[in-house]
Formats: sequence, C-alpha cells, structure tokens
Amino acid sequence: MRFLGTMAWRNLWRHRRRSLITAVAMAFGVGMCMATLALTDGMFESMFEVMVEQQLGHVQVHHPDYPSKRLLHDSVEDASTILARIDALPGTEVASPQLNGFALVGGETKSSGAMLMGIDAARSIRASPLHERLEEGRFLRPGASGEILLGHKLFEDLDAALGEAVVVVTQASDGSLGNALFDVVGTFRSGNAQMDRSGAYLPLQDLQDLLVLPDQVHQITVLTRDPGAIEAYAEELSQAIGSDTVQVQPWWEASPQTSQMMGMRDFSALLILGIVFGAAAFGVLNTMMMSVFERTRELGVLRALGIRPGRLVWLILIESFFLAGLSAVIGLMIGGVLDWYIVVHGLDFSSAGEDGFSFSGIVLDPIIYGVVRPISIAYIVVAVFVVSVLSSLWPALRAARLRPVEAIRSE
Amino acid sequence: MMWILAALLGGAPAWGQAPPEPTIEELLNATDDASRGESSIAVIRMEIKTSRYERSMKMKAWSKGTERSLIKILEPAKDAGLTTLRVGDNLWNYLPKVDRTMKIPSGLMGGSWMGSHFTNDDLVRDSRLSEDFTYELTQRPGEGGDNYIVSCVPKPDAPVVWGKVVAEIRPDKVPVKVDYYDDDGTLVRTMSYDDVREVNGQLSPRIFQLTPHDKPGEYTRMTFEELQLGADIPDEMFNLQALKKQ
Amino acid sequence: MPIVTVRGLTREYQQGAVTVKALNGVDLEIEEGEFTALMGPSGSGKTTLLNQIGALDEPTSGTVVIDGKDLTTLSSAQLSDLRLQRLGFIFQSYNLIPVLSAFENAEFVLMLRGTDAAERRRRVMETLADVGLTGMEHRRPSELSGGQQQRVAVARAIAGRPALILADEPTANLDSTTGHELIALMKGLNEQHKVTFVFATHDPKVMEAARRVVELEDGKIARDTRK
Repeated sequence: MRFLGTMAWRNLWRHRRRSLITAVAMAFGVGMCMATLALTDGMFESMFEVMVEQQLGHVQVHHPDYPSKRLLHDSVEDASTILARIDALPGTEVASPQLNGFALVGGETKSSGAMLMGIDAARSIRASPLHERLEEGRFLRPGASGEILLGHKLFEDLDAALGEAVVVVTQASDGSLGNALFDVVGTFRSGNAQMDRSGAYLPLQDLQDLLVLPDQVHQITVLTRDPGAIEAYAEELSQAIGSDTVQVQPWWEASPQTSQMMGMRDFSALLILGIVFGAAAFGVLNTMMMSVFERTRELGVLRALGIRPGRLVWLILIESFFLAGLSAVIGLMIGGVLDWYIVVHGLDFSSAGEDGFSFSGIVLDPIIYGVVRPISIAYIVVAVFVVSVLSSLWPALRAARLRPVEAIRSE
Repeated sequence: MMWILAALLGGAPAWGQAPPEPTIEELLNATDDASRGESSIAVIRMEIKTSRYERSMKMKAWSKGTERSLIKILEPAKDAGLTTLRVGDNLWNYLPKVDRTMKIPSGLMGGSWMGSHFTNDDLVRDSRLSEDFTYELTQRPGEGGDNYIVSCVPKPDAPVVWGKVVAEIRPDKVPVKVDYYDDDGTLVRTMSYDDVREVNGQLSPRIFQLTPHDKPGEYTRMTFEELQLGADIPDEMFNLQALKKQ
Repeated sequence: MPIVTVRGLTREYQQGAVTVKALNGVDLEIEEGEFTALMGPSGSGKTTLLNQIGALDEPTSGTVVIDGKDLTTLSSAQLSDLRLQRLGFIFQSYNLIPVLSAFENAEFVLMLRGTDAAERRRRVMETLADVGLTGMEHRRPSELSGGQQQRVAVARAIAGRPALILADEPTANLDSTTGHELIALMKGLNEQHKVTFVFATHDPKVMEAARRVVELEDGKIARDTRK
C-alpha cells in the first residue's frame, strides 16, 4: 500500500497550483473555524462562569418544592448542621447559604418592594463575585449585623444615602409583621436588571430573625473542587445529607434553561463546522473530480496493468487525505495566529450593548477572550479529513468504475 | 371592600324596627353598614388560622366617616403598637420598634394585612352593594329558606374585583353571610356573620368570619369585644404626626 | 496447450442506430513463445481482438480462454488479477505513469503483486539493463525521449515475466530507426527469455520481424501465415 501513498502524494503535486488553492481555501476554513470556536468557547466559558458558577453554583441544595414554588416555608431546616456536612465533604470548595424573602424597604421618604437575600458574607466572598460588583460603599462585613447592600437602582428609587438607615418590613413566617432598621453600607451593580432594581443583601442571621425562620435557608450554593465531577459529587453530597426534605441538584437539573443554553455550545460548534466544511466539501469534490477526469487514461492504464478497482478507490482517497493533511497543517498555522490574537487581546463586542454583551438578561463582559480547547481543534482537524475523504468518495468510485478499454482510448 | 373596613371600624348597624317588607336596597344597605357608623371606637379580637400558623391579635379601631380610620394592635406584645392609618385610598403603617411610618405602595396593596386573610386593598376599597352593583332578589323568606338572598353583579366601571356577590340577609335585615365569586364564577371567599346582639337598640352581629375557599381550614375571625358608637373623635387622630403619639 | 484460445469471438458496438461488428466469429490460438502480428487495415478489428485477449473488454459472444479460464466467467477483480499475474501491455503512446520514475514504472507490476523489495530491485535493474536504460532509473517519463519511454514501457511489461505481452501499435509514435531498435529489442527478449508477444500493428517492420502474421478483414481472420 505504501507505493499507493507515494503515488498519491506525487499526484497531489502534479497540479501544484490547483492543489494549493484548494488546500489554502480549506486552510482558511480551518483557521476561521478555530477562531470562531475559540470565540464561542470563550463566550460559553464566560457564560458558564456568570450563569453557572456565579449564580447557580455547581450544585444546589434546597427544599424539593422551593425551586418551583418559591414559598417562604419551603426552606431547608437545621441549615448549620447541613452546612457543616457539606463543608466536611472533601470535594467541597465552598458552600454559600441564602435565605430569600420579599419585603417593603423604606427610606426617609420613599419605599419600594424588594427581594431580600440573607447571606453569609464570609462564604459569599469566596463563592461569588458579588463583593466585586459594588457601585458604591462596601460589602457586608463578615459577622456584622444590621447592614444592608442595595441594588443600585433600588438605592436610587429609595432616595437613600450611604450610612442611612432603611426600614425593612416583611410578612414573617408566623404571620407577624417583621420590621427592622438596616444601615445601607453599599450598592451593587450585578448586570441583572431585576436584581439591580429590587435586590437587597443582608446578613443571613438578620433575615432569619426578621422572617422568624430560625436556622433555615432557602438554598445552599456549592462550588466543587472539580467541575468535571459534579455529578458524582452531588450523589455523594445527597447521601451525606441524607434527608428527604433536602434536595441536592447539579446545576443542569437546577436550571434546565441554563443547561439548554450551555448545550447550544456543541450545536453552535457543529453549525459552524457544518457551514465552513460544507463549502470546503465542494472545493475538494471539484478538485478531485477534475483530477480523476483528466487522468482517465492513466487510470485506465493502471487497470490494464492489473490494479484492482478497490485499490484505485484507495489511491484517490489517499490523495484527498493528503490534501486534507496539507489543509490542516496550513489551517492550524492560520488558526493558531487568529487564536493567539483572540486569546491574548480578545474581541470587543461593546458596540453590541451599552453595558456589555447581553444574553438572556445576563450581561457578559463586552470583551470576549477566546478559549482554545484541544477538543475543538481536534473536531476541526477530524472534520477536515472526514469532509475531504467523504467528498472524494464519489470521484474515487467513478475512477473505480471506469471501463479500462474506454479509459485508455480517451483523450 | 367596605365590609372589612366597616367591620374593623365597628360602625353602628342601622337596623330598623322590622318594617313589613324591606326593599332590596334597604337589605343591601343594611349589609354594607353592618358595623359602620358616623364614628366609632371598637376593640376587636382577630384570630387567624392558616395551615402554617395560628395567631390571635387584639386591636383597637377608631373610625370617623367613611374615609378615615386608625387601627392599633394591642396584643400580642411583640406587635403591640403597630398602627395602621387609612385616609381615603392611602394606608400607612407605623412601626413602633423602629419608630418609622411607612406608606404602603400601590404595588403591595394586594398583600396580606398583618398576616390575616384580608388584604391591604380590603381596607381601602369602598364599594357599596346598593350603588356599585346591579342586584336581583333571588329568594324571599319562605321560598326554600327563612332569609332573603340577593345576587349582585358589579356595574361595568365599579371598583370591584369580584364577578358576583351573593348576600343572605335575615328578614330583620341582619346579614347572615356574603359569598364572593371571581370572574369565572368560582366561589372565592365567604364572609359570615354570627352572634347577633343588640347594640344601642339595634341588632348587630358581633362575629365576622372570613373564609377563603382556596385554602381549606383557614379563616380570619373578628370578634367585636367592645363597640362604642357615635363617639366624639378628634380629626387630629387621623394624621401622620399623630400616628407616633398613639 | 496454447496460452490463449479464442473461439467464435464476436464483438458488436452500437454506433447510433447502427450495429457495428468489430469482430465477427474469430477463432485463434496463441502458443507459448510466439511473436505474432495482428495485421489489417483500420477498423479490421485487430485492436478489438487485442483488447479481448487482454481481458480489457467483454465479448458479445464467443469465448476467450487464458490458462484454461474462460474470461466471461471471471469477476472484475479476478480479471484484474489475471492481467496482473499473466499479461503485460505495451501501448502506442507509452502510457507511463508520469509521477513515477523509470525504475518505479518498471517496478509497478511487481509492487502490485507484492514481490519483496530485494527481489523487485534485482528484477527491475536486470530488466532495465535488458532494455538498455541502465543509468536512467531515476528519470521521470517527461525526462525521457519517446524511444526511451517505450523501452520503459517494455520493461514494465516484461519485468513481471508474464505469459503473454500484448502490444498495440508500439512503434507508431517512434521514428523509423527507434522503431527498428525497439522491434529488435522485443525480438531479442522473445528469443532469449521465451516471452510471448502479440502485436496489433500495421507497421511493416513488425510484420517483417513477426514469425506469425494474422491478417484481419472486417472482423474476421483472412489469413494466418507462419514463417
């Protein structure tokens, strides 16, 4: 078979120009695919960071009914015991509890409805970038009480000022009217419009007192040490907690929409590959068709000399395989340069939106940095070969079906 | 709904001396005014039962005219001093613990008042069956029951959230119960009246119980422990400055 | 036993509505060691007959038997193998593989057969010496003259020591001197190595050298002369 390779390789260089044009065209496809995939991978990576790691966590712990009903009473009880169990698990990076409730927040003159979120400041700092999203003032101080952090729009709506006390009034779980004063220590800008308009963070303990939900939380967001082993971790955690009224969900179960959105990563990759290589396939088909057509006599001679039709198919396929290899090599160089630029400098999409790149209500950094995954490059390279070989299958079969007498007589 | 306001404010029932045959309008007015008077001072016990909690509150309520009222919680101690002021369509809560007064924004008017089955809206709505509804007598005493039954449908522009209201009223014009239906014709809640006593020479129910039909087993029951009608209440009671001084 | 036995061979072509009988009942036997020329005017059927014997084309009726095998019963792959193992071809326009060197062209059949490298090298070098191309092994066809190319073609045909070599107008593209040299070369191989040659030609030089001349007219054998 080796001499078939030799012949195929030399055949490729017979029409240097044509082969090179085809190869370079495919190589540009490869390069563009690499750049586009690096970009989408980068986008999805930052979406994963923003939507999964910063919002959902890798794993969520909550009352089974809480996600669907979001009722005040569907809480996780004995939260401190459960937190201790989560912390004891070796796969745990950090667990951050949260208690939610609706309230009326009043400033000196104005009041507004708000979504209260009781958090453990020390854990939140480790688990989420919330403390980095401050607009003014400072984050909640770990261990402190009587402090509140307001969404910047809510802060404006209340005509509040830093250091001023706002009153928080809410319907507590026992039917009483929970009310207390909190000092505004800061404001945040999360990028999520609803959060900025109505979100308010306060110490978990304070909210538990206010809502009369002692040692209860609505959810615990867990980040694991190994994002690749979330499923196993969730299983392990579920057993460690061992309670029917506490549900442990990996993020993709907790938010099927997010999961669906992240699933578009593969779809978009396939779409890009499909478009680029659909076009490339025609190039290869054309090149190989011409190559077979103009070599009809030569192929007839090979048949006369006793080569089997099957081997002739191989000869053509190997030729296109080399063409693919050539394209891949040039393409990797082109793509390497593009990838380098996108990874190092990023692409600025700030013209797409004023605050950043908005995707389903989530605001992403307007500058998207590429992420190069070996698997993406592997996809592309495999695609080059598969497309090239597949699209030369027809010319190859045509070559094999030539009738020797007619082929030799041609020209 | 005016009846809750009326109930809370312990108005004076204006029962007549059983004329031969009351008009429908008279029956409805009597229901609307079941506990309303020009001015009143009442002490009310409110018992709330929900699937989550049971609580009992004691409160004192002052009312003057149809536009102004003030309710102050006396018990339990934790909530004592919480005061709600109503002037027209506006509600304010005074929170003694933090010494603040908060106006309830329109967005939260649908929320529960003090954990009861009454909404803030119920406190300020002021429709009258005899004015905002078209009504029809569906049963007279002796026609399958002892009482009058009046079916009321809101007029197109009436400030009413219900699709239909059906009141059952005794021949002596004392209301027995009122059923509230939504636009789909589903029975949503029932206000029933009990423990009829004579106050100031007039018959008046002492217990008002609100039963929401979408929450089985739950209710809010108000019992008028004291009721003083025609009291002279100064106007200054019903302003924001006065809230803190109560 | 003859290498090739042809019985009642007919080959018809469809040219529009007209059926052309290129071969019309040919009977022929070719024995080992023959140096035979198929002669005749254009259209007499000599190339068609050569293609039939070379297992390159299927007959309309009749049989071609090579090594006791009726070609009509063989599959396409079996026909390929038969050509590879038993037959050699020389064409009018040389038809060397342009991307292969002289050595590699001559080596091609041995390659296909899977002969081991040392044996291939020995046989190819020997054959190239036989056709007088020693020292030109690495040249590509484009770097060789017509005569040299045809010598490579002869080397390719004989390197595998086939039972029968079929040559279709091998001298038509060569000048007279070169043609003479090539005929002499093939004649020498025939005498020296007992290689069997069948030519389709109208070159008088070939006819002169041939020991058997089969003359075709209108798809039939008109004369079969042995010298």
